[in-house]
Amino acid sequence: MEVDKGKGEAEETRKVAEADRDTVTLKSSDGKLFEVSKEAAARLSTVLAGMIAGGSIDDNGTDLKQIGSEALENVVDYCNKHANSIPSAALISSSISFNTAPFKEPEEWERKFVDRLSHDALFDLVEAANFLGMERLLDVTCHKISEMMKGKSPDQIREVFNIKNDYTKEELEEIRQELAWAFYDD
Amino acid sequence: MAQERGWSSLPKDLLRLVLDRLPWSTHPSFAGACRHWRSVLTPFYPTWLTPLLVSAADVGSTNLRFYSPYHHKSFEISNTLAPAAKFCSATGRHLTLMSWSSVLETDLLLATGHIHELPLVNFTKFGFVVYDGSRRMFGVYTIGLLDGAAESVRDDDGSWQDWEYPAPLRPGATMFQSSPNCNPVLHDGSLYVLYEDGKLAVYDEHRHNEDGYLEILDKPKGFAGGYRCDFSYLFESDQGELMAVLVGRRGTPVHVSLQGRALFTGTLTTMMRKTKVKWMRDKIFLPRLHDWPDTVHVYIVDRDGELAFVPTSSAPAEAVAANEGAGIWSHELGSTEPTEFWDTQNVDYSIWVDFSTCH
Repeated sequence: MEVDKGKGEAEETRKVAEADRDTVTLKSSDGKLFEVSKEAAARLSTVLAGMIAGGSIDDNGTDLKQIGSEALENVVDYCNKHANSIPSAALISSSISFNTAPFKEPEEWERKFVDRLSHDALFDLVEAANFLGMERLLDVTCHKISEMMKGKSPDQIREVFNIKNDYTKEELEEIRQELAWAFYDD
Repeated sequence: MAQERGWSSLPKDLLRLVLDRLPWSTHPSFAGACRHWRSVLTPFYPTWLTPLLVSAADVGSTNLRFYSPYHHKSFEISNTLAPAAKFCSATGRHLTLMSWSSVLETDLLLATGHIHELPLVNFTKFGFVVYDGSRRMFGVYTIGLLDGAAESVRDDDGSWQDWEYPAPLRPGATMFQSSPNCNPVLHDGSLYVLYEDGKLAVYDEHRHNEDGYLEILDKPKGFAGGYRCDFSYLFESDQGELMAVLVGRRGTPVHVSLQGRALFTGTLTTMMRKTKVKWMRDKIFLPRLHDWPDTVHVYIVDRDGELAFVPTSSAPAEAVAANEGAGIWSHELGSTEPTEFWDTQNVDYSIWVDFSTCH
């Protein structure tokens, strides 16, 4: 079980089908195969780390039935990019108040990585990250989703995320009452 | 894939992760999107709607308590303050306190009980201590022959330099008494003191090396003739003007428009703020309560630079909109309606603080 390879040895994705000691092969729900650095997979995903440690990795492609090929490609892409990036000081939260969730701000390349995704791809990626126990990728994707709704009205949020308004008038009024401070007009 | 399941059915644990990254002010919109999303919302109370009245739960040592006039609730955090220290001034999130021989400075939002002690005060205790919120601390003497300001400056490494005192005795000084419940006010880089007869005094930092005295100015023109009041408070308005509020209990109502703002006074610090809360507009609030508010035990939680009180227990938050100012004594300018004053309870040892500028 060689989990802890040095960063320098982390390799570019290589489209090799045969088993390789430094990579693992993952299979999407629609049967596509993807290769990812074993070191990065184990470091970034608690689920994959568990599978690698437990020896339940299939050399012919470990089945990830819950993840489609587009999302899996993004996961693998993220792992490989992460393996090649040098963590910066920005990873340390600079917040000062007493009870700040210790979120780490996404790095520049991580922002770019999620910015180019369509809404559907982002949705699938956040679910894949959740399924695979990828805390850092969850940080980055949830950060992106929160940015998409920051400062918006309920109507605007529904529009961005294509959500159907399932409230009755009475319920909406109840929310306005309960959170009255947010609905004062100037 | 996304079309079939859709954002509105995102699992709750993921919704919570998103919600935790949203500024508090967007939480209501998040909840308003759909029922499923609202189901992950947790109770919180914004800190920035109005200034808050900070007091200590017991005199002496004690947990910090923030009274919100908007919610008419007291929010208590477990941080304790130095025993037997008196509140001196509040600048944003900074609270300055004074004990017998020392001045203490604390950041209300920093780690538990973190208090910074300034160099010892080496003779008479200061009448007032005013902090500019960054580097300068003024200890002000305002009584009698001894008047002037001592100064301490914070170095880059965060430590405070020794106090630099004014010259000990002012030649030919006359007896003045400053308004006892009102701090000197920093305005345009100088420190202003309001005296009981309506005179203003100014301390100019650049002249500290000459003597450190306060320069007594003439009475402001508007005070001429009828300066008669029970309490007077000096403050800098939200527009950066130096203003005074004079409180009396008899006489003709004053017709001045606050232009929709609210004035929070009655403590060492006084604040004038714009407010979106309609029932608060054009009113003056004093730290006097008609009935004692419920206490909620909370943490102060920062979300994207916005601060809110989050209850430590998971008891559901009660609806709070109904209060409409019935809990705290206030006076609408120009109003001739009598307001019960003497039946109200004063919130002792309290001071207004403002978190709206902490963003």
